[in-house]
Amino acid sequence: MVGEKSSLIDRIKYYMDNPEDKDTLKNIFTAEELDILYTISEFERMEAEIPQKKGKDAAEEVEIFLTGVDREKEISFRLKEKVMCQLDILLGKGSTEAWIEMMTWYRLLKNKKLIIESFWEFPVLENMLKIFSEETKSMKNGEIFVLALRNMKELTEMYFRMVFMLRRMAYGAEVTDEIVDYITGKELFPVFIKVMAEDSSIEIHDRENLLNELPLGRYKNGT
Amino acid sequence: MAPDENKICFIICVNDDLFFNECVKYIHWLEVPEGMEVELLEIRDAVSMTSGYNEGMRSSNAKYKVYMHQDVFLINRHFISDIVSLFQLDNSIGMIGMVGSRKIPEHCMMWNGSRVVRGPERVSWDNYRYKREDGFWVVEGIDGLLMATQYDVPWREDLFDGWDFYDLSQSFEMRRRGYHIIVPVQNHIWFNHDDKTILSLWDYNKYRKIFMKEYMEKRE
Repeated sequence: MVGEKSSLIDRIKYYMDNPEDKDTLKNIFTAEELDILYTISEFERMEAEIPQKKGKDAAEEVEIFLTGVDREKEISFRLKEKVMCQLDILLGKGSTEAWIEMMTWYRLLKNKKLIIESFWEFPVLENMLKIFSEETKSMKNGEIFVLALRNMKELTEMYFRMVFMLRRMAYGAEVTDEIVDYITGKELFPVFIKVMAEDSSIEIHDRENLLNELPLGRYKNGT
Repeated sequence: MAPDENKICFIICVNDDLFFNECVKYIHWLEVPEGMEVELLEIRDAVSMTSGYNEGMRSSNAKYKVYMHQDVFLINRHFISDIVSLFQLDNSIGMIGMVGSRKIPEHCMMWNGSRVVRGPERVSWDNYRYKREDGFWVVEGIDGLLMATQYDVPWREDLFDGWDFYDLSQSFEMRRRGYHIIVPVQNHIWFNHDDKTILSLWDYNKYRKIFMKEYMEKRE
């Protein structure tokens, strides 16, 4: 029997199977979680009501596509806001369980093809979730460093600081930055490198040479 | 103000200091040709890209102006001398971009048309230096990530009061005045761009229709 202490995956499954059981749903979800699920359902209903049209040429295909974007704008922003709030709540907990729930929300949206490809925060989140997964696989002394990130602003900032640092290394520029000491001292960097190396969407020129020339020690102090 | 031929001005609309500060680092790492002055104008609280760029344009007497996004990082250290030499090659070149489209498709989604940026060769970073023989493409429009000009042409803030199609609009405004727009053939990338792989299209269709009405219906 599903309850408020059941995993998020199990609770979401219950919601999918029993969307009309409002009493149970109110007991097993927080208000924020339910709000997200109801908005997702609303989004899906809206999409289902639109007849699938195919354009007769490229111009018409573009018109159909962009009309769809216009139609989805309001609900996309509304859903995004709710998801971001929930991610902030979870990040604020600083726990492995919270990160696992973040992963659940991300996968739910991705599987339903909702908003993941519409807002830049989600590809960033995806990579940070991969870093979390790598850290839990290889954690030493039980410490998982991404747990120190307290909200999405910190998460995205940390992410881009690391990307910038990689780029500066590739460019041969100075990398002196307080972030270097933070992440290298905490052994996060090798995990980050591994995940970033697999994401070809991140532009780093001479990526291959850079990755071959690591470990980090060589690039400290810009040498 | 008479344009100063020995000055180049980078004009950037800013709403994210993390990116802007990193962008500025790369500008400061550029090699500056002897006698050339580099100016940097950050435009904050712009209500649109066109109004921000008009403000920057009016604020500088630099002959060469580079309008660029805050999330573009110039890794070609010779960027300044490369684009100035291209401008000096031919007075009819009004604008230089990093990515362009040789022919804007009828539906005006530039990235659905034939885009040009990378050259056919793949040169290693250590060996790369743009040469005139590498050439350039003449294009109809360029991507707004970076737009370098040698002539001041007002941006159409009367029509494009948001963050879309200012780039294609300016491309067509330049061409209306008889100038060419080019993209240098880059056998190694000149820049990194953190547009975050996501296309923000929320107001795109609105401005696409404005663009089509103003320029495509009158296209020669």
